Amino acid sequence: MSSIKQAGIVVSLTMILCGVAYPLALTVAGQALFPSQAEGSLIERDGEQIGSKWIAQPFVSEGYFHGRPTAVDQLTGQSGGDNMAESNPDRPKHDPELAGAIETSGSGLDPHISIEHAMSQVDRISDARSMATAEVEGVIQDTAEGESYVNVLMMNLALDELN
Amino acid sequence: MWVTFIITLSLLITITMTASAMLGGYIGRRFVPIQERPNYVGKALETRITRRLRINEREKQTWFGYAKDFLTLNLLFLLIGYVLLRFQGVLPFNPNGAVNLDWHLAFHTVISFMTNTDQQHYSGEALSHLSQMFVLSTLMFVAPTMALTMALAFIRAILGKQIGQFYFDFVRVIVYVLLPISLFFGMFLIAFGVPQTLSPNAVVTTLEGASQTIQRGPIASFEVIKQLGNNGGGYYAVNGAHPFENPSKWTNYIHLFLMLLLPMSLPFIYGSMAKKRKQGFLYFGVMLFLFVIGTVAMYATLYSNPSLHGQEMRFGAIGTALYGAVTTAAETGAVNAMHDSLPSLSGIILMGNMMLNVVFGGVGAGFMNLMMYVIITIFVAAFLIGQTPTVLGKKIEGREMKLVALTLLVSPLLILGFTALALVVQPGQDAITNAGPHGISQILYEYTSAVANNGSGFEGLLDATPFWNITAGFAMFFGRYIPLLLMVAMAGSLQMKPRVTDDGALRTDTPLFTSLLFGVIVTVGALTFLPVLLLGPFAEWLMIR
Repeated sequence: MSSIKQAGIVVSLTMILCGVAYPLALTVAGQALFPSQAEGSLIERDGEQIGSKWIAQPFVSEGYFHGRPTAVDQLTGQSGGDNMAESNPDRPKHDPELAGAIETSGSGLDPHISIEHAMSQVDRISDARSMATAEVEGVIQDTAEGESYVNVLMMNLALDELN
Repeated sequence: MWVTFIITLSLLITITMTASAMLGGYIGRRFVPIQERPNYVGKALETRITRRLRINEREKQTWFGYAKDFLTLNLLFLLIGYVLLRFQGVLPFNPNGAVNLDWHLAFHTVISFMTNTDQQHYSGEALSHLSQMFVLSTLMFVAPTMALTMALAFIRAILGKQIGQFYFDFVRVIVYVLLPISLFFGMFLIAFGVPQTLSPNAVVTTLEGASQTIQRGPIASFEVIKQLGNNGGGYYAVNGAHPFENPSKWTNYIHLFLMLLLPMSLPFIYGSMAKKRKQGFLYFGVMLFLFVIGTVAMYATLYSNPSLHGQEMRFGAIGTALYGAVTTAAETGAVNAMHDSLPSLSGIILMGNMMLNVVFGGVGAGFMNLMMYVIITIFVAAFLIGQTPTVLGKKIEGREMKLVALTLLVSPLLILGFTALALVVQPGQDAITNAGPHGISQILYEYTSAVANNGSGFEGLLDATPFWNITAGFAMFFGRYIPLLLMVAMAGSLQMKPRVTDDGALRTDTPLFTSLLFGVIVTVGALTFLPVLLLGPFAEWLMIR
């Protein structure tokens, strides 16, 4: 058998095995065992899909928590950072009181903000929604589950539940 | 914070090392020459398949024949991949209307995935389903397999064993090693939130009433082989920083584990095949020591500079520092933060790991680099004590040393040569997006990553141009094939030699030799690359402090 023909057989076998059979097998198994995660952890409210737990969506109204600054248009689903170096004069200085609040994220789709960043928004939200600040702070604590960061979409869903 | 970091690092090393030692033993037993191999499940089926391919494993293949089959298969994959990318617009399975890639982008992309680099100059949506399946996904299995087969042949040759049959090794690495591990950990990733679906992108209505597109696809299957095979190409533009590729700190740990698993197992494979477990462990120790130094330094740069620019909240400084150190040590090239935006001094660690390329290093390639340094160390040490240098009972003579010296020169010549070129020509300078010393770093990082077959980048660099596609394409190609072939040629040359008695020969499994080896790696690496690192990241640090 010529070596080219031998290589040709190996190439086609590999393409079918690794390029088709393997991803299909994992799709079938993943969809069977973890259907929600496999589809992208989409969240439904009143029978309508309102977003993914893991993907940031833009929030601008006073009554919602706002996410981190981003270098991309989150509505298109594109990802990207601004790639500014530490020495770049246009890059905002770090503020330890507001970790992550003025710095763009790596993906542009970071679904989380720091607890400090969330706390800094409590007054605005309680004014806009005429809620007690303690109630808004409670939403942060409940959603954070002990971590130092908290999911913006989940907090905003919890706010809408409350009022 | 430091305590948490040290505990996390120790756990990562202990768990991965244990798994790597088991995997190394398994591979070592499975890939000895057929005469020494015990019966196992699947042996009969294997024999039937190889008979159909007319491969006779008992037929002796020389290192030259092995390398010839290796090159034939590489060239065929490159050629088919190039054609598929170049003409994807008119080929089937193209529902989103992706257009044909330009010749230089197709050239860069196919070399990038074939050489285990996965540097990406195309944008995510630019590829058809056909290209994704038959070029990217397939090559992510093929590329690490190629390097692992060469490392196996290299080990057998320097041990004076038969070198084996290339196609036999190739198929067995995919079927016995890569596929089972990928399927197993793929399920973990899905459970933790990585999508695996053939559904189209979801369109949702946000809480504020806007319409948002959620881009999704078969990501878990891509992600797991990307890390296990040290490929590193992202499903999305931002790679492991994207919440779908890496949704939580748990998936972050799985990524870290998978990136280190195969590179860490190579010294154990050697120990098992050579029946010299202590030696394998000492080689592992040298690489581990280098790894720990770099990783601690990496965390120190993030600890002293708490800016979260270009980083994700969910990983924290520890998860970000570990990822940066591991991806450059293991030559994976995945990122979970934008390396351009990390603290200036961390650039020294990121690039230093890639320049040394023995801090575990890519699958197979890292171990062969280590053996290159071992031979240099034996050569130096033997002359210090006035002996003929020998490795495993074979004399190291002029021919072997020439091949080793050539191998050593390849990466500095390519990295520094291309960097110098890009710094003086217009298309090179035009790509810089951060002025000052960081601009030098952006260019230096691109070629270091290409030559070391890493694939990560200071991604601000505007590299989607013919100049960058062509130069980085050649950097990856030569950075991959020249050292692999030279080292296998060197091993082949040793294999032919008669064994001399090794009574009184220099012992390589002692702490003294191991520390000398460490010294040689650091000295050779530092002397070559220190000046350019001073011009880039170090000068940037001086400028802003």
